[in-house]
Amino acid sequence: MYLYAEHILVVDLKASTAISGSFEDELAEEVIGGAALAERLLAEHADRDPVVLATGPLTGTLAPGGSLCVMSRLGEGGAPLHVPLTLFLGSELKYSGFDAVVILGASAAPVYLWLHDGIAVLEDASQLWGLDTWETSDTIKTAKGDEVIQVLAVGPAGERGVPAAQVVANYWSTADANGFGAVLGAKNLKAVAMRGLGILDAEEAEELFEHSLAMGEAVATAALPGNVIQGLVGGAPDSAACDEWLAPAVHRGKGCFSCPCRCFTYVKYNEPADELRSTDVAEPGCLLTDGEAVLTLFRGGFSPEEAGRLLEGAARRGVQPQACVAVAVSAGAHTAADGLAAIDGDPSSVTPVAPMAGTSDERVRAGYVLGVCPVFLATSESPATEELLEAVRLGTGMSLDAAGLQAAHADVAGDLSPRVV
Amino acid sequence: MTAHLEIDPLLCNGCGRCEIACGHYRDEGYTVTSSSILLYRADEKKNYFGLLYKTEDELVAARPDGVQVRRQGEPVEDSSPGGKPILLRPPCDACDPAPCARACMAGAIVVAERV
Repeated sequence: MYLYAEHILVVDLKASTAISGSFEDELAEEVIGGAALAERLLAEHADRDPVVLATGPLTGTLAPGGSLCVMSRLGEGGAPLHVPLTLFLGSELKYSGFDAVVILGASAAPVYLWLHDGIAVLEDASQLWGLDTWETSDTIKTAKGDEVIQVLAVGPAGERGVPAAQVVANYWSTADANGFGAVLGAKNLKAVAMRGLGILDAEEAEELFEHSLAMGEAVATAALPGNVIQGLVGGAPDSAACDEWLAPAVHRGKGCFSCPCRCFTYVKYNEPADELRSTDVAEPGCLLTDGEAVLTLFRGGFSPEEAGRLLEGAARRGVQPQACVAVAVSAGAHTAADGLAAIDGDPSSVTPVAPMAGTSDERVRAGYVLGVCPVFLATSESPATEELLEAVRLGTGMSLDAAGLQAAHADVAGDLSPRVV
Repeated sequence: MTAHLEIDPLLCNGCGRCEIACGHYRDEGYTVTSSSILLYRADEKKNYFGLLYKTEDELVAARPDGVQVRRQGEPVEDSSPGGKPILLRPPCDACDPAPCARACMAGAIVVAERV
């Protein structure tokens, strides 16, 4: 089956098993992938407290902006909630040999899941338990001898069941406002580590390649997000002032796999922001991924450096940045130390902020299924849905049309705002 | 006369499209294992990313603090394990049009000509 990794992994944490099964053509043609695939797998394993990671057919290709769907339910009978995660998580999972991973039950002892070359291993995580996400990612990368392993990590907040505990991408906060960090923490699953060295073949390889480059060339890159403020909360009345405030700490913007945007902004506060060399300072700053949180800290009277430190603290703990910032600001904090003290003092009070805001944008919803970042689709007029469909047709050989795509994403529940990814 | 890439590492946003495009030119599939150009992303905690590029004779390290060109076999200053994979890759064969440059949406890669 072209453009897919062709495998779905089912991990039973209670039984300590990981079984890779075929992703059958019939299922792919029905659900396409991404959030629709995740929802199907969630329903299939409903009685085992599932969490699903799922890519789409365009994840890992040159279609701009790949993403990874994470989906679960909070509580028995709850509606499926999902979040599209970016950076390099989706492409890494797919190149590692799996289109999707279903995580069932709970492990008796802390473990992490290690995926590479179509192989899945549950590794002992007793030495990782209690570590923050930065330490967790560093430890796994060092143990495996590969610095570009992608780690979906749970911080101490997830281990302790903090309501706003989120899953973290290597070192950086994500858009997870559903408390998935606490969900994985309750499963004793500290991390999912991925390294992908596989290859995705296309049905019409050259045609898809040219089509993908043409889609990229048609994107008006000058109008795309250039930093964490412009991209995610650019419409706010004080966003320009926030930009100006943050500027002295800004090191450099960063994009995600195959995407022209720079939605994320790295700030430095442990060495000069304009230092471009790799110095002896091992941890010079933090990648800001949540524009709403940055804006709140600006309004709350933080300096950009202290804002960066506070958001590093949120990422290390594995707490949603907006939740962290809300507690810090309401406690009257103006420094990272005071803000983090307020959070650590009463972690149970750190609840998710704005976890749900549905979108009816058909193109963005299509992205959930195809594995294309919703922020990219929400901020770029190109490519059109039909062009994305053509990419799927060329890549997979499936005769997918707009009605089929709409049917696949029509039932995807728990939509979230595309403002933050 | 050899086609040659000129890379501006400060324009690079670290998306890796160049690497995937070159890999596709080599293998007709999407992979990070076979390109002559590589997104250097090992120092993620420092946001220190750039591109590594291999020709028949040279290894080009286009990093945020500048572009270093070394003859094959010469050490690259401040090298780290993250740069090792480029040594195993095939050298750029100066294909035209260069898919890495076409795929780059940030304008970080241009094809120049030199004697």
